[in-house]
Amino acid sequence: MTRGALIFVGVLFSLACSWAALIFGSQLHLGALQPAAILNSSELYPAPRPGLAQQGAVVYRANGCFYCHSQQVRQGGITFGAVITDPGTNAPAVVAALRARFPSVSADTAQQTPGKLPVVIAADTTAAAANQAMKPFTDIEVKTELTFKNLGADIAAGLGPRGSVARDYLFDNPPLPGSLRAGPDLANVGSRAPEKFVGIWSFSPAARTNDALQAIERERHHLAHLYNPAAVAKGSTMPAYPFLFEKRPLKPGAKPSPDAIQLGKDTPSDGFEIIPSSDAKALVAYLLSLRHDASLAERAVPRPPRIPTPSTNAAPSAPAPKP
Amino acid sequence: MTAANDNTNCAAAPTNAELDASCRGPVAFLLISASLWLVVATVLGLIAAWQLQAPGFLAGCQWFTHGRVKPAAFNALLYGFTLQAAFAVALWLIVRLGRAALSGPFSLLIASKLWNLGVTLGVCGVLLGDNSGHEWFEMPRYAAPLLLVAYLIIGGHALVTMHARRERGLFATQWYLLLALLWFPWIYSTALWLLHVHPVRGITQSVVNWWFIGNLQLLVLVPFALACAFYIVPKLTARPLHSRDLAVFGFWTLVLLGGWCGIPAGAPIPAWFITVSIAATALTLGPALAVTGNLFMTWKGAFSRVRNNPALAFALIGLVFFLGWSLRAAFSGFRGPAEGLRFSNLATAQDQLLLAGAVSSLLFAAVYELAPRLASHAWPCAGLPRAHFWGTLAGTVLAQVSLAAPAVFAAKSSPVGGVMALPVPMLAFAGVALVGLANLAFVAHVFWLAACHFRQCRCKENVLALFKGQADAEAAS
Repeated sequence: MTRGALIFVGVLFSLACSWAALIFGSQLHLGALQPAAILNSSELYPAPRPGLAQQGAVVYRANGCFYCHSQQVRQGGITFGAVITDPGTNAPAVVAALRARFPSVSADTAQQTPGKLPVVIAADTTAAAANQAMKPFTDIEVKTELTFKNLGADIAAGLGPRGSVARDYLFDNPPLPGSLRAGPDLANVGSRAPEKFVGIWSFSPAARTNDALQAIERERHHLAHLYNPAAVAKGSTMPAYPFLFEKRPLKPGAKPSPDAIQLGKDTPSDGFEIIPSSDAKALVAYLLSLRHDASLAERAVPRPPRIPTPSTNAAPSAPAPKP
Repeated sequence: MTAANDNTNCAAAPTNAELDASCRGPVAFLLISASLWLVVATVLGLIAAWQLQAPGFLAGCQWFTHGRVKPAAFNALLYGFTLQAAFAVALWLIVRLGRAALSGPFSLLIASKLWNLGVTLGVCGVLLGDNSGHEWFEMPRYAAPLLLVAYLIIGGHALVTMHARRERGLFATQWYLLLALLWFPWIYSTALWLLHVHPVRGITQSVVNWWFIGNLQLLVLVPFALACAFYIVPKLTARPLHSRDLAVFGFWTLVLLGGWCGIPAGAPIPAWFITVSIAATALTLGPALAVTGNLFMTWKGAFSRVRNNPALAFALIGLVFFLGWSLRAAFSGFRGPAEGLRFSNLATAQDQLLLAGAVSSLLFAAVYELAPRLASHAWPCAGLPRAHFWGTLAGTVLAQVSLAAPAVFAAKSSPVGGVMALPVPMLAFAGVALVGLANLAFVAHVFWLAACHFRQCRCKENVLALFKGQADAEAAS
């Protein structure tokens, strides 16, 4: 190899291949991505962030939050299952089918099972096996439903109901998926319950209700956390961000501003109050806008089986243990 | 190339001293500014590392919050020290191996100053809160283009010098230099265009960013480092390269595979990008083994020369660190291990091993070889290189073990709340601090050498007069 030209051409060719595949290829594959309808709804996802949250994204980026917090839930795969949602009227046939499916179950248990909806007839299996398990029941006009479960360590750890997909980042400029998790993942921080921020970081479907009171509570929680993380989450290694707040003297006899953050026992008692700056408020608005939890065609979110309200039997439908 | 041609070239060939003189200005400027950036990166890096032990440290100061100091330190190290030192070493090697005087020393000097201006603006911009949000490419819009302009001048002159070489044959060192010099402007301008000037949509920006990081690591930094290794090892052991075929194989496989690496497992993009990247990363183990094997076979039987030779000692640990980095990158990249290892401190450890371990060590090796020739003065102290070497070795091993081992052991257990990166142990800080102190010893030695050079040039009187005049003026006022 003595010719510079040979190296020049070889290097350029290899570079062009890699560029064409990964840069141009990603542009072809993902560049024209558009918001899509959420499954079983007419809403489009994602929607552009509101203005305050967009300002917060700038604060998030400027202070390098993404060096310690990722915004990306990883998903391994998916497993299927099947449930009975309505046993119908042919009770003896249902019991017989149940005993055929689960030979080890006693007759008494099988008798009681159709009353406890939904009845799990298959779990953690393939779609084909779940369909096969459903077949004997659908044949006797029992209503069944195919269920599925998203797998992966991140989902098991409660970081979100499904893995993140390219569409989740459509309106992020720049997207900040992160590369280190010195702190928890924030992909779904906007949909977590306030009590879930400390300790076990669990995704809770109950927290998805957009109750106004809860929104204020969450905002307060985040502001207090930014002002002094160690006071909110014990043993936290996150730095405090006092420069996002203003500590100002409280006039004697005056009421604290409604904006002042509440720090519990750490509230300054020496006649001062802590007021969040516009940057702090924007940052919290951004955090509360973070949620990768819309059910999409490429990655769906499991929903509880729809059980028809029984007309004759008024017993509440409790989830049944697997027979 | 005919023998007659070679003869005429040889007749007019300049001596080593003339060659060194032709590149002294720009190379010395690049080396000294790289040393200064190494000090900046060390100080900022120590602040960032200490903040992991004491989260309250400098937390009240907006400019020095951890999320700003960390990228500032990283950019000072990557663009200030590593790339700048690599340019200096590359220019000198091209001149030496091609036996042609450096082209355009004056414009190179201007370009080097422009590069430093760009890095200064970039690092200050990150501290002021103008981080671009793209890792390894954090410099804001007003700084990043300056680096490209400066590079085009530096790289252009390097290529012109290489083209005008008198020694027509190309040695492995020059292949790698050519590779890095050609690759850098393409990936940098792609990142600049698609991330700053005309940002692509959504996650495609991250794809560009990951591609840029992967290419910068394997096809710019690693080639610069390997170029140094291919020069130092055969020259200082006085043995011919073990196998030219193996070198050719290692080079071309790296060229073909390197550009496909960088997309991490689990990224929220279609799976084929990730699969391609995992396969390419695993396959780059081939060139890594070929190159290190070839160099160690060259070295075989002459390992005793490492003693009292800082250049060879740094080449040795640089190659070992490079091999370790490649092995770990190949195995931790697969989907299975990546689920437990990605987002953990292993990522930090990998970047540290590549930048502060492998690439820096091989660049130090080259600097220990070239600086005395450039200054036409021997290194003034034998103890400082020894301190530099042992500090780098002990510090890197300490930081690697204390960061990577807990990450690997914890990978099997499911972390609470998905927090993958465990608290950084104090030992890791001690390791980083040791490497930092070793780097300061190196910088001090470079300045000492420069001072010796000036003294030798009989500039001593002038310099003293200058200081004396200033002192007098101050006393008078």
